[in-house]
Amino acid sequence: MEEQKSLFEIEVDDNAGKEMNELSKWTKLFGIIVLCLIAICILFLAFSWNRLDEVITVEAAGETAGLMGVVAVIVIIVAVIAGIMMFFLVRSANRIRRGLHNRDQLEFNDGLADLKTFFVFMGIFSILSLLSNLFNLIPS
Amino acid sequence: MEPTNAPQGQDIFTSGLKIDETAHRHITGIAQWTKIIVITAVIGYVLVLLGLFSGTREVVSSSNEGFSDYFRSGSQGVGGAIFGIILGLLLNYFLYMFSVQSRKTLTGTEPGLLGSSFRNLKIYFIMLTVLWIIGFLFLLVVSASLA
Repeated sequence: MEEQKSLFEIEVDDNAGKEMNELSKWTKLFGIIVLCLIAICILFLAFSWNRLDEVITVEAAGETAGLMGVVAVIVIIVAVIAGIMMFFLVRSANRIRRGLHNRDQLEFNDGLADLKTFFVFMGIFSILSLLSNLFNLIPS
Repeated sequence: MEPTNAPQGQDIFTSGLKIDETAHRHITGIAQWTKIIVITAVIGYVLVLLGLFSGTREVVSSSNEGFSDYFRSGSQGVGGAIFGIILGLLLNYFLYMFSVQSRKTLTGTEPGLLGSSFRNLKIYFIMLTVLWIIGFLFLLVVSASLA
């Protein structure tokens, strides 16, 4: 009983509270910056579509059938996934901050859940990235 | 638990919140996934180093102008890769420390490490933010020079 009590009743002390509050500020800033960069990349792609098509056509010596379409699809998929990740990160920051300031355990827990979701995404992409590196090492 | 606002003048972090069963589960999950991220990153760095020093240094060296200049490799590529790996290791160190310290806190081994663990996570995000800003500015400069 004593051991169970100590597991589930670790108090968020002053130091931990302050660190979590600052963490929430930085995670929110990071999330917003990445979301802005995603928007800028999409706008850049949209406005310079024709120019990029010309450059790629010249560099690939004319063999670009459907290449720009593939590029667009990849960019959109990456943007959507990154956008979802940053949404969870920003929401986590807001919830943790609100939970700390209002001493709302539910809000605080929900913020941690969103932060976990963000790291789940990151972990999955890390694993996929590693697997693709391993496949590239396999001699053809 | 009813949410309560901190009275005027009182430190807002003094009491009230606990790492209950739900928060414990979430922080444990975060610690597990951050450890996975660190392990995959380190394995990736090892693979990159193996690739660099196994004689496959040259990527593409084309006689075409402009675009293909960015594909030349050699000692500059090795230096850049090593710099990137060092930066990545530094980043992942803080993530690893968060994982280790939060686990120690949650298992009761060293319950006072909660603040320290989240400080490491905070530093991780600070570095990530700064690197992304620098990377974006670098991209802007490169795009401007290409235009």
